Amino acid sequence: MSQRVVDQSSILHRRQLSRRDFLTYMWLAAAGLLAAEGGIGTVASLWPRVQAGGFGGKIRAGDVDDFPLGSLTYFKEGRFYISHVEAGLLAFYRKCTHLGCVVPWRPDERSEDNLAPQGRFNCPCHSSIFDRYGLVHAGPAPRPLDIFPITIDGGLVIVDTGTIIQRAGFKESQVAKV
Amino acid sequence: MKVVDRITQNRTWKALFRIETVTQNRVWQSIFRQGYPSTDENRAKVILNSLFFHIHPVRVRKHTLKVTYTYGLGLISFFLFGVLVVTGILLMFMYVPSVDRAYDDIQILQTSVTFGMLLRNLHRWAAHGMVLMVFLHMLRVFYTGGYKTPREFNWIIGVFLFLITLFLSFTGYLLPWDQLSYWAITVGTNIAGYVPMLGEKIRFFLLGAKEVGEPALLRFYVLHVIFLPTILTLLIAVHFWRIRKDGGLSAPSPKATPDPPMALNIPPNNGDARTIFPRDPRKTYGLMELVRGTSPMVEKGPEDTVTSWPNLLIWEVLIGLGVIVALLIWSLVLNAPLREIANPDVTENPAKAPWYFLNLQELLLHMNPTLAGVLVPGALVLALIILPYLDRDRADVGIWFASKIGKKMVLWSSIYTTVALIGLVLFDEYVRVRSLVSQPEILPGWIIPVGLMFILIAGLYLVIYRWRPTLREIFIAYFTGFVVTYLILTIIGTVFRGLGMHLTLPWQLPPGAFTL
Ligand code: HEM
Ligand code: FES
Repeated sequence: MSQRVVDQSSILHRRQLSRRDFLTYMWLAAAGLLAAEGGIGTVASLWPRVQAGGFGGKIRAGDVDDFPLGSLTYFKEGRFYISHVEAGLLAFYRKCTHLGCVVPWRPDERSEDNLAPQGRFNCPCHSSIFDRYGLVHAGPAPRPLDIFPITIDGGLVIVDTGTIIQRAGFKESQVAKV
Repeated sequence: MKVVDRITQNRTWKALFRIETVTQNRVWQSIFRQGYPSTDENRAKVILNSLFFHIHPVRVRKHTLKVTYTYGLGLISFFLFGVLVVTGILLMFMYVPSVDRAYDDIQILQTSVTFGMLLRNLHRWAAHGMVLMVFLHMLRVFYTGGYKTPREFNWIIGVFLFLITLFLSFTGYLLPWDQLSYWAITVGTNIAGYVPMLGEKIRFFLLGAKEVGEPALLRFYVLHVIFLPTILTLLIAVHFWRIRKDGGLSAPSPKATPDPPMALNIPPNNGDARTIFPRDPRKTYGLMELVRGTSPMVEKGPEDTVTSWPNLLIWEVLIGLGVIVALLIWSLVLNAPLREIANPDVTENPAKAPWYFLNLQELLLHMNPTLAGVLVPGALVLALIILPYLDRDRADVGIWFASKIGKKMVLWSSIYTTVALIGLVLFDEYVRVRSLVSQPEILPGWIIPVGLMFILIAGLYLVIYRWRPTLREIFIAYFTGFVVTYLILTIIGTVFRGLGMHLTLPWQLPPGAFTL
């Protein structure tokens, strides 16, 4: 007997949403909404308010004459290197494009470019090697060293550390002509 | 002798120094509601009446107690976690998570605090031990088929336990704020930055800034001391609860031979199932608990069980003591490392993560970071999670390596993987894939490594094909491949990578290149 009643009700409501199902869905939706609100709210309140540390402004690096062809100069405070290649000056962000280690300049290692016989960047973390153009010669770094825009104002070299430029290779347009 | 007898052989002495004096009074009996567990009834009650014991069953299978089945690895992991909680709380009294104080606090801890160095060592080595033991525990569960129905879900909980154990170690690694900490976390969080689409956002959120600094230290501290331990504790509780509800530990399906007829001269209450479940029509069984698994066999005690008190508990006490003794000795012999204070301007050469992450770091040497740091580990975790749903045959549950062929799989897969991996690592070091093909970047970064992985996977199948393995045996071969890869990459990363992460013989490593 009871079996039959159940059957009937299921036939009756086959195509409609029963009230019970409707309420179940509503509860689930409400719970989902609550969880989402909680999650998003937590992330929003924990979202960092501070922006990138310290550096980030325009930095005067020196006179054009301070950087002879083939030379590399390190600016610790500004976190960049200035490299003088044939076409002009490049300012490299010191952070390895692989996983962010600081890449030190190794003046005594065999050079990977044709500007000088010695000197290259060796990343200590996974041994990526970069040349004076910032190009990758070995290791897992997926792109050349990032650069900062350089402007030359009356012989004064100014590096804008607020703008990090990622690049796929070397182009003449990247340098500041001297 | 006479004098001693005089003192001890009299009523006053006996009244004072009998166990009954302690146990036969209202205070004791209000705490412990059963008598001394020397009868089976009391052995059951001692378990059921105690909050701390009641996660145990009253009776366990003899098979569960075999050392060579579990090697107590889960239990060891649990005790190590206990040590970590206790030593961690003590450390919290002496450490402030701020860039100005963190490093000094650790130095003061080591030099001025009584037992400070020992405390730090215990915490550090217990953490390393826990990573190792949880991993070994996972191996044991896999190779004995402990993940199969109805234990699929507990295996998944286990996978998360493993991941959280790793995250706990990772977040703790930053806290001393030395060069090791700083660069390991820089590299580690940069990997998170390679998650497709959201990467940079995730990294920013984790660090609380663009680079590792004050906000990162505070965030990692909170994750390390409260958030992750709480989740781990909850998951461990579920893990243990599920072991009970899944019918105890996995075991080979019982043989359908009835127990020999009850021997009348066996004294009762010796814990042997036969004497408690005699063939006696007047004996009735009550429903004590609902668990999955097959029901007791006719004319057989429920699956050859013994009482948990003392048979299981004595093992737990012994293992707990063993863990503490081993850890103490290790901590007295070897000090936890502390380098110079963190310096964002200079990266250590080589800059290494703790050893259990060096397998990942090794992968990062050879392929695109999204692939090595996100997709490969992600795929592995996913494979571990779905594993119990793919392998549904329950015939070989509880048998180490499943079968004779299973053992062959382990052997040949190990040999194959070892040879292939060492070959590849040597090739990439001395011939260098990148010096053969470097452009476009997608070739050395993605296509070649992914291609090689597929070739290796297919190659392993060719090696094992001749034994016509079953699905379970195939899984054993691939799982072994994963384990051996994990181990070999860890070993290479730990003792064969020197300056600039170049291959170096272990005895020629520069100072500082080998750190635990
Ligand atoms: C914090 C980490 C962990 C703790 C404290 C823990 C603890 C335990 C304990 C005490 C047992 C009882 C048997 C034994 O000692 O082997 C057990 C069983 C089990 N564990 Fe874990 N475990 C952890 C992580 C894992 C992981 C990483 C996995 C797998 C991915 C896992 C899967 C299982 C399964 C499936 C069982 C039941 C095995 C069977 O019935 O044969 N556990 N665990
Ligand atoms: S961080 Fe420079 S090679 Fe990995």
